[in-house]
Amino acid sequence: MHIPDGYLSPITYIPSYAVAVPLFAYGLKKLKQELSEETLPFIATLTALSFLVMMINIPIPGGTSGHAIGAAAIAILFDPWISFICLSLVLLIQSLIFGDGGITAWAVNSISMGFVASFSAYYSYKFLKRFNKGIALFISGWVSIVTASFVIALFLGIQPIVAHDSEGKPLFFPFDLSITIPALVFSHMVYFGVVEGIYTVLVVKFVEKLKLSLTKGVQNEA
Amino acid sequence: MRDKVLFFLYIFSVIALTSIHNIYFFAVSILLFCFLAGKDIFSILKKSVLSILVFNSIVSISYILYSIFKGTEWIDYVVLINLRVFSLTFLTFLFIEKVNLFKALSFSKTLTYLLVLSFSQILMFKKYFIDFKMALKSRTIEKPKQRELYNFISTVFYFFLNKSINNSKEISQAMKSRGFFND
Repeated sequence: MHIPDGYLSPITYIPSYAVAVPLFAYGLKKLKQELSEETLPFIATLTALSFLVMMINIPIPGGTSGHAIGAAAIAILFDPWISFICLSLVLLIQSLIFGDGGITAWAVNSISMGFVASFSAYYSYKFLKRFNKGIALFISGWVSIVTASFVIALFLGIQPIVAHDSEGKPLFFPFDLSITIPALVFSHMVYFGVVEGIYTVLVVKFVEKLKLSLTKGVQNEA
Repeated sequence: MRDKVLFFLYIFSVIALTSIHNIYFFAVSILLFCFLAGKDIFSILKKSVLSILVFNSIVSISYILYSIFKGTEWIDYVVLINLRVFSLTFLTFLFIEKVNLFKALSFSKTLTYLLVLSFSQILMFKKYFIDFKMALKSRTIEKPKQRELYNFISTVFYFFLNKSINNSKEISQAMKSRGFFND
């Protein structure tokens, strides 16, 4: 789902940096206040965990497989701010060190895959867990990736509208919202959303079964 | 200082490469980057092509088909977007190759420590994960069933979750004992 460099116009990525950087700074400050001197190492090791999650291929019924982003599991087990910071760091390391994803797209990727995915999963689970925990976990994972894909589809889909030449030809991503929303959101609804849902159920239930004590999160609030 | 200057030069170049829409500008930029790459040119070329191949192919082919269907011209856009993405990707790999990123980002102490710590943990976790995969492969003759793969994923995740928590405590104590938090 990462957007590479070259597909977002400056009119899109500069304002998105103006949103993502203060959010990242606020999240970091908030976590420092809550976790004090354990913050830096804790975020660093969870960032490595998030990176690793993206390397694990999860089989889904039907014979195919895909990787999760793990935002929902970390948001539910710990805190959505932790999940957002870790995912943003993973994306920064991927773009600047491994050359995967783009530096111009970092802010948009961070807002969608970090912020939107983490908070949508956290609040979906908080709302749904009273009905059925297992289903709530699956839906939270599914919601996290579908909402993230929707935000990415929005950013990509507005490119031909905000950045085109005098003849109306696109200068960056060429397809508009009528194509990006169905193409991206639908594939995430039927495929990657299922992967993320299965992953969220597997890991949260497993951790819960082992009664691992965690810093904070919806699990510990209950 | 050199790394910081190069970092800001990189950011400036990225903004320029996304603000100018002339294919000759991209062609000259790519030639310049190739010259700056020196002996690393082929490894950076290879990494850049591999990195953009899938996404660019999907977008370019889709756009060509879409344009043919609509009866519009497509060549200008396809050349422009491929040159733009390639130049940006080549520039990023060139930057990674020539600049110490941790020094370049040292204007923020917190960000530098987070990047250094995260990156070192990522390298360690990657190595462990490869070991896990090889262990599974060496112990299974037939393709593992879905249920077995789910168990494997849960166990691997639990191992790394545990390791994350324990490592963070160890690192925190190590940093504390070296006076990091008193600075």
